[in-house]
Amino acid sequence: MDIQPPKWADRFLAWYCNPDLLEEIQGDAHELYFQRVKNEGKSSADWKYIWDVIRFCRWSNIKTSTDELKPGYLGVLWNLNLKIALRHAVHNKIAFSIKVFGLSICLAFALVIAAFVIQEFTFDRHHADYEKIFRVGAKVGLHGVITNYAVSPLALGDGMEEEIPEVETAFRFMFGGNPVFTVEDNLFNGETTLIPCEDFLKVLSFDFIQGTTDALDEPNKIVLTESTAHKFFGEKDPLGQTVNLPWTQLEVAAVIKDVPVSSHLRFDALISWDTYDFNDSWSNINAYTYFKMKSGADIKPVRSKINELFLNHTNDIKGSSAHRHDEEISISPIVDNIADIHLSEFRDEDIAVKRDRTNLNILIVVVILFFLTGVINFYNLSLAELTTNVRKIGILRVFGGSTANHGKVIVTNTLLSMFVILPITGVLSYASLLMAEDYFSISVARSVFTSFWFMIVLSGSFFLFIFSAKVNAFVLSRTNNIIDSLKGKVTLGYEGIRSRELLVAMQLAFSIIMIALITIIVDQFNYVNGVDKGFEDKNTIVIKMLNDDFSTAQTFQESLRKLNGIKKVDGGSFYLDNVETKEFFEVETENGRKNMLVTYMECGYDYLDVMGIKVTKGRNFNVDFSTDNFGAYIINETAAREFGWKDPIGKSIWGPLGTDRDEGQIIGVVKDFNFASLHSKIAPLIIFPASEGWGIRYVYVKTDPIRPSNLMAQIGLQYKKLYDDLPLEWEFLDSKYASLYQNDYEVKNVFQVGLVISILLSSLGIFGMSALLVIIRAKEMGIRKVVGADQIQLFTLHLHGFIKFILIAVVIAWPIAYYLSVNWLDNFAYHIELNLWYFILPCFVALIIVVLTSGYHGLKSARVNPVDILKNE
Amino acid sequence: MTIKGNYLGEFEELVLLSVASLENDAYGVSIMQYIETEAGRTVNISAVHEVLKRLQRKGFLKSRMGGATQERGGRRKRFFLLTVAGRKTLEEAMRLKLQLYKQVPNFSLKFS
Repeated sequence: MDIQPPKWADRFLAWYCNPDLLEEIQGDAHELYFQRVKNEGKSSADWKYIWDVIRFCRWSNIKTSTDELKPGYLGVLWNLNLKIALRHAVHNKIAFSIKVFGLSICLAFALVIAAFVIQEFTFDRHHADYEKIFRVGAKVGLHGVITNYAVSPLALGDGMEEEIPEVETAFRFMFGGNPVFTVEDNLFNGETTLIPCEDFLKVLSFDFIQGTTDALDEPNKIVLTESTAHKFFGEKDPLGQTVNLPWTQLEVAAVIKDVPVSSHLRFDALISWDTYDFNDSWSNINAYTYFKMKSGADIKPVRSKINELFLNHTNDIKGSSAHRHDEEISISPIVDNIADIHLSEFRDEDIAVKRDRTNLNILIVVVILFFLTGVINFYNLSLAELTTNVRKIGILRVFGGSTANHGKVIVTNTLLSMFVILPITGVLSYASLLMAEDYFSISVARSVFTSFWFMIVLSGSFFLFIFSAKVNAFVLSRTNNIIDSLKGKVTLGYEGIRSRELLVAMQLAFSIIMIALITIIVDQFNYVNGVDKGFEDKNTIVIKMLNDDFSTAQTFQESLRKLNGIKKVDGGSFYLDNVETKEFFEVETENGRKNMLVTYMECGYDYLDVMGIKVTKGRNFNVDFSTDNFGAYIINETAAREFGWKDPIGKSIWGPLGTDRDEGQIIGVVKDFNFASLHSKIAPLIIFPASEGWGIRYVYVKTDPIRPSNLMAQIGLQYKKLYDDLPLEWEFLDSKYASLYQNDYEVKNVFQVGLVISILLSSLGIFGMSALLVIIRAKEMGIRKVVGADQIQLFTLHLHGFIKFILIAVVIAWPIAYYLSVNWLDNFAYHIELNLWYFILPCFVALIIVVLTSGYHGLKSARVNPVDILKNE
Repeated sequence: MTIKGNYLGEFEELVLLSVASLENDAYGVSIMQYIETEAGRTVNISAVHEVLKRLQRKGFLKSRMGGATQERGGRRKRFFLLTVAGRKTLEEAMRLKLQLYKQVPNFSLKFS
């Protein structure tokens, strides 16, 4: 008998086939095989045997399936389990819904935040080869003062392409601000515009709707995003249409999809580089420069080569202007990968969308804590719920059920809850996503939800649930003492209760952390809002002068002053997020004249008055002094300190160098005012009167608190008279000021929602735990009552068990809360001081939560009739 | 007798008949070969097994394992036998068919 059917086919059959059927099936197959070997030859028999094996591979012959009528058939058991689970849910409606809703809310919240965090960490990953694209900024040191700029010299791009072999392409763009576009007599002004050179579209990945990546190759071309195109042209085909700038015409060369939320660059329109005539030199440090490396190249040598490039061109960068030549200027590159820009540190003149890493870290902690508490809660509640069922398990065991089968009962229970939880979670996450977009203006791209990391988070969380169900199953069905379980006793063991207590304490700790953080955050915001900014932002309207001509602006201001409801009007060059206002000044010091780069502001004579900025020494500008126009400066207190002047009045300043201004004297000192957010420290400032050559960039209008409702319309009317071709752009100063803190407000909002949910959750957790304890200690309570304890004693006894939770929770919570809050507050140059109350107060809140939630069961167990419990045995 | 569970499919009927006629020698391979020779139909062995299992579940067949054998590596055969219910169902089905067939008018008459 040398001839045998193919071994692998035989083994395959043995592998899949149900052992009960294997003998007859294999027997028949072999019998046929040997007959065929005799009649048709080996190879034909082999093939037919393989075919038979494959044909035998049907569901009813496969291992897992058993004849339905056999006792213990899987399907029947699962059906039974499902029935048990369903019955259970219906019987304990409240417990079930608390469990399910608590978990769904928790999951939904955590998932949405997780998605948000993932999005923040995966910015700009949509560009092909993003790991090879870098941005070059400039680190400029001047007299030891180092400023990190996001911009770099205009000539850098070409320089890199020529001199560094590893660089494949370099491209640059200028920030175009919001130019005034005219399309068929309609004015548009809200479009953020970039002016990139042609490689911009070729290296970075954008989705084109119309046109190609060659769109920006020629001058006078414009590329619009989908929504801008719709705004400009409505339903018309935008391609080839004309968009007018005040001085030239542009042709729409392409339409791209709106820039994704996860892009650090946000823009509505792109105008081709060659439309403009830029000063293409090394001394013009104003371009945003990016480059893409050749594949296989390493970034390290490139970094040092760019550094070399900067060194070689230091003299070019200093420029030809005489006053800069002998200065100690150091300049070096800052090279960031495009995917890191979003989370990078602060850079001057950065237009990238940025996020503070500390805020993100806090959010990550929140997500993790939420997941954990959700799972712990679920675990505790279902355990408490199932212990009421312990007698049934005892009976099942008497009838011969195995440990594994009880496990299945419990796992089915969890699965059933999952079936309810999943859709609710889905709906809740979607709703909270929409709400986040509407109320908190946090938007999350839908694509994040299908991203790799989100999938990991999702599957990780479900794994945790299954795991908790498994642990539960193990704990409950392990009970060896059938008699005890038949009597309804829970034999969880000391260890089981211990670990559970720790879990509840952790939950409570989480609540304490949230309460502590939210009070600190809210306090900090109140501090920010209430702190003396040094100027008045209430009832102030700021009008942006798109045409900054000085005399027209004067006429405009004069016409506004006549309006009813307007108190004061004057113009200035400062605005909250306006950068680029540093210039070189020469300052009189003990060691002669010193060249310094200082922030400056030019403004009208009344401006300080309009803004309520206080003059602490000397006087304000005054029209009666004819010298004020060109010979007077006012500085702030920080500048006086920085320049080393005890008595600043009468000291001399020259500058800004290279302009029509020269020497002037200090006539006054103003109190420090903070025009940036309180995240940054106040810098030295020089103020001088605006004049013909400087223009007026913003007009500040102080109105009466009760102003006529048509005031804006009247202002608009005056504006229209003078600037017929320009749209009126205005903002309330106080709301603009608040927007500087948007990043932090978002965190605050998340926390406020989180606070409510976490308090809810820890209440649930303690509720579940006390339900469990009541069952376990029922007999003890009964005996105590019989022996003579009164209700109050029993009640306090019950509460007593929970007070220690708070102690454990405090130990866990305080260090974490302290670390996170110190971290967050460090972001602010001006912030509140932490004191002990921030940490003690949450503990009191936690105490109240504990007393309230466990009190319910405490009362219940104190009022119970001891006979009911004791007759049990 | 036409309760759904007891309804006999065409192939089921064929297998049931084969089991009945093979008497004590009805097992997978023999049934397959019997159908092949008698009805001229080539069927796969796995299909036969499937139907045998189904008929057993319906209660028309019962089975027992035979003794060790030589020709199939010592593996035992599962022999099938008709149950009383099976015999009744078969007879009922045959009777019904015959009864219906008798009512068919004679074809040849039409040609004359």
